[in-house]
Order: sequence, then C-alpha cells, then structure tokens
Amino acid sequence: MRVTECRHRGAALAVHFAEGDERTLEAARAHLESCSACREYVGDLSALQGTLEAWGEEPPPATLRARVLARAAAAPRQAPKPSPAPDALPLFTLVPVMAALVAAIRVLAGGLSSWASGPGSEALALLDLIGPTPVAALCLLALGGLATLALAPALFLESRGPSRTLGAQS
Amino acid sequence: MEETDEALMAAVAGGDASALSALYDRYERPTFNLILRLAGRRDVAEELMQEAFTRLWTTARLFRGERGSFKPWLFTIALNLTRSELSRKRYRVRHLEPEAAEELPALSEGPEALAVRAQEKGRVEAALARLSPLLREIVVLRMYQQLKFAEIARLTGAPEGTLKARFHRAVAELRVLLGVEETPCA
Repeated sequence: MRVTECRHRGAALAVHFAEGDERTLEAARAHLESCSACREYVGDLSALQGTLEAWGEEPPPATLRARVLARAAAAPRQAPKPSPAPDALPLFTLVPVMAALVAAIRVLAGGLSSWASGPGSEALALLDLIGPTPVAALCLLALGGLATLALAPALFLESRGPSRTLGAQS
Repeated sequence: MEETDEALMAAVAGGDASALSALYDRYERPTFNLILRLAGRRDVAEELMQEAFTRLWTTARLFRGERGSFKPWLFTIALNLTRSELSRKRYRVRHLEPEAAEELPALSEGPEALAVRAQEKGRVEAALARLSPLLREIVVLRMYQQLKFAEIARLTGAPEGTLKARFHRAVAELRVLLGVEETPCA
C-alpha cells in the first residue's frame, strides 16, 4: 500500500511534527506501528525536511533596517475609529442649566398658583391635588419633549453628516 | 526584564518609534525569510518588508493584543502582502509538470562543498518556485517557520484539514521535483 491510499496518514504528520495532544500522539504512534506506508512516509518527511534545509535562513541586507524604519516613520498613522457616542458635556456646564430649570419651575409654579387662586377659577383640580411646583415641572418636561420631537429630524440629519476625523500623526 | 511583543506594540500604538525598532530587530529575520521563501526574490522581499513594517506602524492602534498574538499578526500582514504582490505581478508559477524534475539543476559531485551547498539551495529554491502559491505557503509556514497546523489555520483562515491535504500534495510534488521517490510498502 502507498501512503496516499492510507486514510490515516495524518498520523504521520502528527508523529513527524510531534503535533497534537498526548492522546492524539498516542493514537498516531499506534497507527504507525501497524502501517508500514505511514512509517515510510515519516521517513520521507524527515528526508524532505533535511533537503529543504539546504535553503537556510538568509540574512537581510544590512541597509534594510534603516530603509524600513525610515519609510515607516514617514507614513501617516491611522487613527482609531471615532466613538459613535457624542462627546459628553462637562458636568460643570450642567450647573447653570439646572439652575435655570429650577428658576423656571419656580416662576411657572408661582404663576399657576396665582392663576388657580384667582377670582372665578375653579379649574385645575390637579393643582389642588399635587401642588403647583410638580405641575410646573411636568409642564416643562412636556415642553422639553415637544421641542425634542420637533428637532428630531434635524438632529438625525446632523448625525448622518461627515464623520469626524482625527488629524494624521507622523 | 525584556518587554513582551504586545507591550512593545502598545508603545508603537502610542507613537513610540523606538518600540518599532525593537520589534523590527526581533522579527527581521523570520519575517524577511518568510517573504523571501514565498516570493522567491530578494528585491521583492526587501520591498515587502518595508511595506509590512510600515503597515504595522500605521495600523498599530488597531492591534488588540493578547499575549502571543503579535507574531501571527505580523505574519498575516506579511502573508497578505506577499499574496497580493504575487497575484498583481503575475509571477510565473506553475503546477507540477511531468518534465519539471528534469528541468531542475542536477546535483553534481563537485569538490567544493560550498558550491555543492549553493547548488542544493538552488535546487530547493527552484522546486519551491514550481509549487502553486498555496502549496508553497503551507511548506514554508510548516517546514521553515515551524508553525503548527492549528496556528497556520488561524493565520490563513483555512481549515486544518484543508491545510493538511495541501501539505500532502506539496510533499508529493516536492518528492518528484527534488528526486525523492515515494517508497511503496508491503
């Protein structure tokens, strides 16, 4: 039998290269004991390996290092992909926003309170129930939601604009 | 203590050119010889070495290095560049033909050992050049670079079984090209 006819010639590779776990190698060695074709093949692989070694490692030219490093240093570097998330605002910028929001709630709550206690005004049971400040907050929240909805198309188009690129570094 | 390849790559990603030099010194020979044996020409190997390390430098930030992952990464760059170059330039690559073995330079009984070695090297080079690129690749990666089939599979994306089948074919062709006849067994 020739080794090309052996279904288990992978065993010859495993033994020649000592590749695989101990169990695989054990099975491969066991196969080789019973298969002379694969045993011969292992011998041929060793002979071929020896022949191929005639083309040993060649030293690169001495000038190559300088050329490689100079060319690399001159090349523009690739930036990592920008994060899809927008940049977060620094926390301190939120302080005036929050202060303005609180002030707006207070003003609106005051207005609602005086309107509800005005002559002939029996309406707004909600004000009686939960108080003017929470109602003012709810009103502002609703207004904010409406504004966001109105701006959504513009924000969407903006987000699909040209992506941000970082400057090239050398 | 010597820095790991991956630590050096992290420095390269940060723009440290000395880390690139250190990696180059570590991998110059194996990478050069990998490309040389695949391409078969020193001028091409020199050009592709420059390209490979330039790519390493420019794309270092994309490297996500676990320990031991640098060498396969570099070899993948080198392999892909060589494949691309070989296909672009349409180097003469032929599958084994019946008369191929006869065309190879024969070994002589020359008195000069150096000359004999050069001749043997020439025979091996010529035999490898006659293999198809995929067969040459598997021989170079397994026999010369000493990578395991599993590592080559990760490097090339080809299944291990396919690589082993290619290897058997390459061995059969090299036997004929180098005049090593297959021995029939009882």
